[in-house]
Amino acid sequence: MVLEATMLCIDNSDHVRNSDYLPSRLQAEGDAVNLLAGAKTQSNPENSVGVLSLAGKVPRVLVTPTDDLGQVLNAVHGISTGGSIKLSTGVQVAHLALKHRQNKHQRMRIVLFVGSPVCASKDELTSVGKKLRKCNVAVDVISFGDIEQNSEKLEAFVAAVNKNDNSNIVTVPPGAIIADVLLSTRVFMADDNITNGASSFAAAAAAASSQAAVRGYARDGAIADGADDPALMLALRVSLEEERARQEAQMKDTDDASSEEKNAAAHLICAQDTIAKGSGKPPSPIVDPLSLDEEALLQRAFALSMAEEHAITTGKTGNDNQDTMTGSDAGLQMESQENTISLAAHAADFQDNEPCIDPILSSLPAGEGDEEKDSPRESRRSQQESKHSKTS
Amino acid sequence: MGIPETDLIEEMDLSSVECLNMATGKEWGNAVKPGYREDAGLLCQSDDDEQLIVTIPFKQLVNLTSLIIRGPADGTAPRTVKVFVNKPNLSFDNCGKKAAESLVLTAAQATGDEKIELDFTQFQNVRVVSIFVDDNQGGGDVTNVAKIVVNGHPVHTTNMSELKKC
Repeated sequence: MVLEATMLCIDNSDHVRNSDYLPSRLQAEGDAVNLLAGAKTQSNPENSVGVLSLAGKVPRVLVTPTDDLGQVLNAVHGISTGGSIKLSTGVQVAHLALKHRQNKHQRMRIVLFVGSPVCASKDELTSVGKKLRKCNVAVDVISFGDIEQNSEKLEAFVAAVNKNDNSNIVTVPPGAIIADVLLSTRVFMADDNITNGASSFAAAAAAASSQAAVRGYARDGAIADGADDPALMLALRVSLEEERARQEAQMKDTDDASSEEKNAAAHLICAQDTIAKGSGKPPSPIVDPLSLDEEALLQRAFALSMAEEHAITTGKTGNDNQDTMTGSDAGLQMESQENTISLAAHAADFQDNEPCIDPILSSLPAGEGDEEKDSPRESRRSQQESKHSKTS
Repeated sequence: MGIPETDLIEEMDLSSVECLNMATGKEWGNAVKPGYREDAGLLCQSDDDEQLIVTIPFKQLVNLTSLIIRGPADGTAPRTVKVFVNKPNLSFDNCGKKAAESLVLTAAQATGDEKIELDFTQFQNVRVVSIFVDDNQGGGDVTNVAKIVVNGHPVHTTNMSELKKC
């Protein structure tokens, strides 16, 4: 519950057209900004969030610190790309915007998204950093894209501005989802302890609900399919978080001497690696019957909703055969398809780590999963082809 | 003036006091809050360099007459002090402007409880007073302030915080 005013500085230079972070760097950081703005405004009702674009002709304040999340979403949505980032000017403009905040009780924080090469020299950044430190401004830097090139300058900058460990730098490797990586870092949890299960639960829940809200907002309330069920998303996210926390705790037990010094990002990456490889040992050697029950229930609920999901998607394609298909319909379908695939990916993660899911999944109608995954796409393709032939 | 000056501690809005460049654990309260400020061992210390800004808002308009600024005798007490009036957003990049009063404290003033008279005409209807410490007696990197007292008298307007619901 930190009372603070935050300026979110978005990198909108030409470099963010790159799509090494899906769907593109700009949209990936846009998602992260939405999520972060939601989390900040939810953590304290008096918090305010502003938005600034770092590139373009000059850095521009798009929204002065406000508690109206709609304004923030709007600004992020309407952002245009061009030019290259001017980091030191941008940071100083952000500080100016924060200095004139309405509520002087709020602490000041700048969150920088940097996804393109930093032109400013290290000395320049360090001197700006010192100025900010003097004025009690905290800075979080999220570095993605040109990670190696920028790391030295950005680390020097954060080191210069850091006071009582209030500033952080987070590096997001290519291919990762920026918002997901941020979720379990200190950028999200402010000064809470990351390993504290309760707080990470709360943050995850807040994030999940805000993401659901954002999705709903973006689609004009067209939440029809099961994949958008916020409760399901929350359950998935929370169980992933718990799993991650448990693995972290286990790692800490095995080599507590060295692991205590590691930062959150390193932990996260390690945890992700073990999940990805699927080589991680079963999470806890001592099986807690209570937690197992909960897990099993969760798995069952998950499996059930997967089955429903298939039913819904197949039902929908059946209906669409009769309807004429508009462009927006096609977009929606594509998106629901993506959601199904990402759910399936989550399922694969679970399967690797949880031996108990196998019997549940095998109890499902055999071989359905793979066929179902392909068939809607093909049927849709055939629809589109037939539609093309109709129009031509 | 007919009205005798008083210590304006009662009129300060202590929850909104802001201090820039203060060190952690050695905060503005040590120099401003009653009880703490009398203790010479409790200091407000600068962090990065010798500069320090303390911004004190008042609950109602006041007229200021004099200041007491006291520091320890080890050369870390403030020397050049600028006092700004009604500049709520003062920070280190805009404190070069002309201040309402620029003072250079002597060693005796900075380490004793000697009153520093202010130009009365410059300090009428003060809502916020900002005290900017530019450097210290010894010229070192650390400035300490043990006590800040602002004297004057309130302009008798309606004190909104005393209003009660009927």
